[in-house]
Amino acid sequence: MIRRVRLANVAAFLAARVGAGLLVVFGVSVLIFVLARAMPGDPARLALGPAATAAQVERLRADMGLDEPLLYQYVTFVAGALRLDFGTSLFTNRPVIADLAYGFPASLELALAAGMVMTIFGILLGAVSARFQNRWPDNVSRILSLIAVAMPNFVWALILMLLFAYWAELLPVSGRLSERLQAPPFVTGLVTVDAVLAGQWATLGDALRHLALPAVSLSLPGLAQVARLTRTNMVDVYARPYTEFARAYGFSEREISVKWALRPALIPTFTLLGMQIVALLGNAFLVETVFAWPGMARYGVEAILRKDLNAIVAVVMIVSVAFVVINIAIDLCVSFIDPRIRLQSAR
Amino acid sequence: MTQSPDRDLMVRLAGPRSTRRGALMALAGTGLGLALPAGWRQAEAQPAGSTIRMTESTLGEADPHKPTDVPSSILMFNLYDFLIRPAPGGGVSPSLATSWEVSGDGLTYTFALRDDVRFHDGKPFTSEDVVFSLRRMQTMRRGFAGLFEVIRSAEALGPHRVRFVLARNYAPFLASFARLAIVNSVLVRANQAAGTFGEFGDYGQAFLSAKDGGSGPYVLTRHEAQQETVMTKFAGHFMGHDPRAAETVRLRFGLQPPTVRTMMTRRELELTRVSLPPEILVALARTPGISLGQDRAGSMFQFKLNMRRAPTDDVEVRRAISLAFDYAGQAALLDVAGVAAGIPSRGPIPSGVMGYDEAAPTGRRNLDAAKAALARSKYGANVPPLDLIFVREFAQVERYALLFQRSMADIGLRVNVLPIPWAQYQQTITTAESTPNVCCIYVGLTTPDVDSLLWTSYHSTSPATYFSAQWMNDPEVDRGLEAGRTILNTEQRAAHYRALGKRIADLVPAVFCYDQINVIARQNYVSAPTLTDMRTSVPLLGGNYQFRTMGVGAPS
Repeated sequence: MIRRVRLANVAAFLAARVGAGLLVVFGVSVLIFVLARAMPGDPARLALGPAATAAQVERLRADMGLDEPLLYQYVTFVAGALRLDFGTSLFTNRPVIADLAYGFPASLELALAAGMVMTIFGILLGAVSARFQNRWPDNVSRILSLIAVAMPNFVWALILMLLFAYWAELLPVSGRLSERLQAPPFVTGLVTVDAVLAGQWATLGDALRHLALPAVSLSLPGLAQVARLTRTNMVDVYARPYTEFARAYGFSEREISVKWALRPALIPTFTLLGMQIVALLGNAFLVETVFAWPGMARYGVEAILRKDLNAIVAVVMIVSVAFVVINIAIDLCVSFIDPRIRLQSAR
Repeated sequence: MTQSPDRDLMVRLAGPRSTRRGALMALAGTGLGLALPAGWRQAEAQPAGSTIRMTESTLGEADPHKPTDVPSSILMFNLYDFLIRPAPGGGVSPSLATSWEVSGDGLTYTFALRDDVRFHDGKPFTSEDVVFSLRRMQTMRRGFAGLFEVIRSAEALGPHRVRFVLARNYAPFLASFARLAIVNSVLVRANQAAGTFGEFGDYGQAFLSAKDGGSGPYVLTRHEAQQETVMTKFAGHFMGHDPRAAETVRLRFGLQPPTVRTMMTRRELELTRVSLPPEILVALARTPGISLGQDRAGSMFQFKLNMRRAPTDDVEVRRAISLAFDYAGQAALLDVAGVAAGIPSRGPIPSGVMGYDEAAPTGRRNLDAAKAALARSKYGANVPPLDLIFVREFAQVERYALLFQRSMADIGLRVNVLPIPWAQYQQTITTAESTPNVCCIYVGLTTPDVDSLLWTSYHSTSPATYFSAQWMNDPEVDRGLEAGRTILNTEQRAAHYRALGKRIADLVPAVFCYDQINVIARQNYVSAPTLTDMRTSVPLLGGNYQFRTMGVGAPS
């Protein structure tokens, strides 16, 4: 009986989140569709170049359907998007979905790697800092966090490149794999995962080396935020009576840290992480640019600069869907850590 | 319920010690991790003699009948062949065509074609491929299709003979063929998808955007939108290659200047085509094993002056602007580690191009003459401020814009400098009313003929583009441009364009600053004649990057 009630709560919680997510995606689709068309610059002229005649430009505009009413264009776009057909890119002259099938996994791999670095080291740094509050590990951690959060990730990208690629020549600075290696057979599009699936360990090592600098640069500001948030929340929890109570019962400091201090402190941290990782998908363009990472974020920025309407809309839609999906996943995680959230939402 | 003093002491003692140990272990681990890959340091560096890796701004369009930009032109010149090729030092030279005859009235051109050429898939080249390529371009109406509108009919007279009949005299006709890439008609027909061109479907557009259908010195083997284009040497090319020509050419997109500097230093790049900031070029010039080179492609930097907008609608105001500009200041900005990034312009025609007048004066500052011209203008002392736009993406141009602003302040002219993105720039100049007084821009030849620059820039019927941002509407210039297309004698034509250039310069449609030379960096083990000796430059967008003529490795 209790199990059935729990399942019903989860279902209601999930339904509410999915409904809200669909509304967000619809709103974003309308907004970006209109905004992309309101941006200055004639996409047909940009695509055809300066030598094109007015007749050529008009013909391409007609081919792209830009002479149709806006509502008709939107309905056509939605019908295509539901079939994952976002039209052809004016920049690459290929179907946008084919470009995204290449760029999205690259960005996702980078964001996931950065997210992992952010999660593991951010929480670890925050927990150590809180555990040794106002002692040297805490002081060092706080200073490092402050430095990391104060500088944007592209500055970190340049600093790390200077240290580990220009001076030390230890790590590669561009692309996902060395020229001498063939990419593993496409399964997920994540080179590291595909290399593992294919048992290509040399390729895996090479992919990890290529991932190191972009992922660390991308993660540092977020890592610092996670560390600071975790520390603040854990310090708060350490001051609670139940922590003192646990100590009095003779639990080890490690147990107290992990079971009583860290777990409740993780709820806001997880929420922040979710937002950060999704944001990385779209915000990674500077790091992708510095390290010539062939990701979707860089593709999106180039699409904007060329007013490649189909590509702009597709990239924004993919990011918004990813945002919604990851947020729902984070909400689910948080609701399992703290059932009160799930119950309140279900009511 | 407090912690016992002993336990607290234990925690205090144990905690930091274990953390310190952990920190030491982490440091050791990091050191080990960083030391291990040290053996792979040169993993990315290729042995000389196999590959040319070059920076490229963006993905080029592989279909040779659609694009007009530099990255696509480079692909076009390496993957495809042409009846006539742009020649080093200017002009054209035979390629797929061995010779040609022109009828007395100048309307019929008959070409004799080579019979020893094969496409990359082994199919022999014939006149049918020429006719197909021309019809494809004329039907699709993309890229440089406008150059071939003058052709009334094209006919294959035999497997290696083709005839074109023109609707009217058109002197730049031969030069236009430097933009008609010959595609493998059988391959394209076999790979056409559904489309809007009737029996020709999509005319093979989807196929040619990803694969190549040419006979050029290189074969397209990889074309990834966001990373690189890879070409491999086509050993069967009829013109042959430099004995040390690269087996593989990799064009790497979107590399930023700091990344380029790092990769050049690590010998992971051989050549930089994309314009780099002077600081980076200076640093590269100081790096052992790297030299600077000059890519001169028939382009110029100009401040175009809108002739239909106040106050630049008055020729005296434009003259005053031209006389007040600090040319010496700009020349100083063009020096990059002792290598010139430009030479002073002598009017609207760049050096090395038909009609260039070596006797014409370069720009010189004369503030008194500038003030006098301003006083003669209809605005007198009340000249309204000028709006100037430049493309935000061109970092170097901002310096020129600010120099312009400072120069004009010396004659009392106020200038509002507006950096705008490229997309907005192109939109802004679509009408005379929306075009600001001053537009900073690079313009250049799109075919080896001077007409490709002057007509698009100064004829009153040319489409609204950044070429034509001065909005000239001068009947005498129009007549001159039209006449230039009908003069078939080369010397007469050169004299005609020299005179026309003077007429255009007298109207001051722009401040003609300098003929652009893109300073590039190359590894010393790469020989690139067109980038090291400007006498052999090909004055055409992308024309200096014909990898067939470049060598890699120690000279044999």
